[in-house]
Amino acid sequence: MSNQADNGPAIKLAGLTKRFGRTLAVDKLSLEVPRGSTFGLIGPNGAGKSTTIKMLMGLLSVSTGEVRVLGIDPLAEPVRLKQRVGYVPETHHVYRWMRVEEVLGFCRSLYDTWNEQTCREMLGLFGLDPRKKVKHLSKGMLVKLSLLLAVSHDPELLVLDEPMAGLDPVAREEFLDGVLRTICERGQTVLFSTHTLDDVQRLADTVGILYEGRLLVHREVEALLATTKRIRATLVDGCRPDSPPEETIWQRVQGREWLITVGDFTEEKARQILAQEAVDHVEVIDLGLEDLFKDFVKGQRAAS
Amino acid sequence: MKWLIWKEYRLNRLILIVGAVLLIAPHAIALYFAWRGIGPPANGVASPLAANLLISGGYSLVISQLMLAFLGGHAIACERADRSAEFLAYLPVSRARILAAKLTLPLFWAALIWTANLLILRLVIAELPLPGKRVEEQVWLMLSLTALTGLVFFSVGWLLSSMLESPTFSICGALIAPLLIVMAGIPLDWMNILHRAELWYLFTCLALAPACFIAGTWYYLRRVEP
Repeated sequence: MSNQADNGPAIKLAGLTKRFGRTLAVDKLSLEVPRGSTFGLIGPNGAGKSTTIKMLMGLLSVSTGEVRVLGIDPLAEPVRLKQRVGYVPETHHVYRWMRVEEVLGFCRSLYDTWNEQTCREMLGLFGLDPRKKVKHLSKGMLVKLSLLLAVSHDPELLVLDEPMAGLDPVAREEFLDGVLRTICERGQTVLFSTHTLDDVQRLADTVGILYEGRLLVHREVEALLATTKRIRATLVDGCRPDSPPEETIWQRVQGREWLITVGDFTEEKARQILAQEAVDHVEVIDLGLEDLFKDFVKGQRAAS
Repeated sequence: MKWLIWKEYRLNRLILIVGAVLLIAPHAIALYFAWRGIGPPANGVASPLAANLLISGGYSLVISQLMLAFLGGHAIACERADRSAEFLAYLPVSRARILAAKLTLPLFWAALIWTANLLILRLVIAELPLPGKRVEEQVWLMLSLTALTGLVFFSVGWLLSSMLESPTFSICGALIAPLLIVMAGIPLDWMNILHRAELWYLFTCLALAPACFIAGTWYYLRRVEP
């Protein structure tokens, strides 16, 4: 049982659902994140990212479905789970009246595997003053303190909920290059949610797009970018296009321009579009993750 | 555990300082009055010091019970109000340990209040001319009612604190709880159902205090959210 849990995925969600009264925040979410991978969770505001992460961390009850993090049920064994997971929340609520050194002492007393060397190294790397009170730290410094606390016990899994929200571009760059990259290279499993899709493209192995509590996509970033293309078709004057090909994510007709974003792109799909009487010629365009994400969301909004 | 208790002390430091003043101040005033020769009539038997300390001990005991309402009402809700409960929630510490640390402070505080004041009252009462068993019974009844009021203050505050996000509401709820018990007894008294009002209060407190404490503890342990 233990071996199975240790060799299984770092995160496994099966039919995870969360309701707040009549509002469905997360809808039958199923997902597996393998160990050692970096997973980026993206979605528009209110998509259910933070709710999902809170359920993973055992900070929110589950309406239905199953959650296993490192083989552990977060609601049944929260303490055991938190010993092995580092968490940086969206908003940082470290005791404001404590000094940095007091926060470190407090956390050190609670973790079995606290690594003082890592803690000291990161304290130096971040330039955090141990004597400073938390309430006097800037937003960037607070994020760094949260991250330091999340990694100083050498967690097997690091969960970051929009860790760069509110950081200025310089602090973001420092965070990404100096910190996250180091963590990703250590071979720890990382799950992070963000609105900044460049970060996902730079760091994540796999990406999940969440929309209205449903997982629209869960694929390797490279594979997703390689197989999702936008086709720009020029229409014959006065003609309307036929139906779009299968796996169309989003489409728009404006004047003589027909834009279609398709998943699992093949040359055959482009030829099918070109074969339509209304189409004069087609052009295939590569998409960045940001455009791709926007098209997924726009496609869903149009469908609903 | 040491750090958790230290955190509780820091969170409740202001309450404890105010409480310490309220605990010590009546005795300090009593000593000052005795030194100046001011005090209630001592019937020529008891010294002014003993007479003053009897009043200050009783006053200190009663006023110190209010601190239990503050400690109970503040215990859990204060960390929800500033959302630091969320920070604590993602650290590897069990709810049972958190509660144990939260209980340590009020228990220590109550023990301190009662030990100090009972010692003073014991010494003082020995010096006072208290004729008969009836007076002794009255003293013990008053002490029991005071202790039970303190328990109700704390346990109702504890229950509300475990459920609410506002320590102010929890503390206010705790402070009015004994008043509500008394008010609930008034119609019974009118209907001649109650023969001794103090016994109604005593037994209601005895039932309510453990019920609220258990309910508050159970709710906090069962609740998933911080």
